[in-house]
Amino acid sequence: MTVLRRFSKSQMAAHFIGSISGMMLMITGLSITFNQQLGWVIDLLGGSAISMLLHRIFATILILSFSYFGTYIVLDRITSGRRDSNISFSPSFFIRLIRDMIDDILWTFGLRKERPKAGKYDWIMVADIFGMPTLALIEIITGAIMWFPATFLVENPMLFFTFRTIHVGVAIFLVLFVLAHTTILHMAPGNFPVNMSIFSGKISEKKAKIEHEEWVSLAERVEEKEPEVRMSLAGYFAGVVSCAVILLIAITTTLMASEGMAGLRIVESEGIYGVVAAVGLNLAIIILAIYIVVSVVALVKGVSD
Amino acid sequence: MAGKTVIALVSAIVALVSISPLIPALMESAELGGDYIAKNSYRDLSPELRQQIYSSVSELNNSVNGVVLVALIFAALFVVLLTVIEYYKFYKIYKLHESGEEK
Repeated sequence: MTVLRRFSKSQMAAHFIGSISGMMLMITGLSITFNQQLGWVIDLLGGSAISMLLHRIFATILILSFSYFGTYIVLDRITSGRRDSNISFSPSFFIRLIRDMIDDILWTFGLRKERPKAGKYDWIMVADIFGMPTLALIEIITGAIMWFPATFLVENPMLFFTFRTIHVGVAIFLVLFVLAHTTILHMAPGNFPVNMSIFSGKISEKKAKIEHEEWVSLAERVEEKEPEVRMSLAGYFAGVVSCAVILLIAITTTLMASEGMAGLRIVESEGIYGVVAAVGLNLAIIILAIYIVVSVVALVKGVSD
Repeated sequence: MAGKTVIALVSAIVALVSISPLIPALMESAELGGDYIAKNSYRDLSPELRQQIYSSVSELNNSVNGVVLVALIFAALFVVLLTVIEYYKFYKIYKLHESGEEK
């Protein structure tokens, strides 16, 4: 069997730099926002001044990669067309995505006989591809306003707090988004412990036939030994833990309340609810740190292979 | 190939231009333990003006807090549901595949 060329070097680099800087932004940002639950992270990083400096350094890296790869992808698409990608900007494409989503969920629950056939990117991947940069752009804009209040908020400096609430709200959603992305695309059966295709740029033909049937005939073939994917007990354990952390963070959002200019705060910081919030946030930080290490190891392995 | 190089070059220029204002700002922030308050501080405004600004934004801020919180709670619950469904989908796909029921 052969393997198929799935991602270009630019796509691999965009994913790696964007994910590492994004996850570092979440670690430094969450610890600043929820310092009562995550004060140890600030201490570990060397204090609040260094945490803020690191947050700005990783924001700069994110903006650099966002502008570089954003421009690259747009220009490449204009000059070379969509090649083997199924993503288009026509209404029919988005209608099909919605139909695929419904059919996919119906099939999962046994309410439909056939699973919809996906192209290079299935509906959830397209949601990731469009959703992640959109949310990152909101964070970049609100973050830049807060970084330079004297430039952007000359007329009404108090709007700083409004933009901070939006920045924090989207950041918490992004944490959930990243945890969901990794649970589905890296922790799920067939992918655990890590979906190597985004790190090596290649995917086994067997796996591609299962997940991206319509794309297989369009893909470039590479003669290489096909990696064997097996699901282990550790994989199921990691999946359950990952889903549990997402649930805990979701519950934590229900423990938050508006505190005027102070923005959104966890109001129940004591008792069982306080424990839920503390456990959820701390596990999220630990998992993000693990993902950073795994991403580096996977990239080294993917490139060396 | 030449086309790719041009695209990479244009992208690099765009990226460098986009972060160029941030580099001097990072250097300022690098003075650890130094002044983190913007030079154009709100302290320069008169108490009356500050009160006026505070009142106008306070209402807006409470509305934004409410909207962001509700959106966040619904989005979070949606993400939880979708993650569990998608994880189960992959489990089902590979279970069927291993048993030979799905080719």
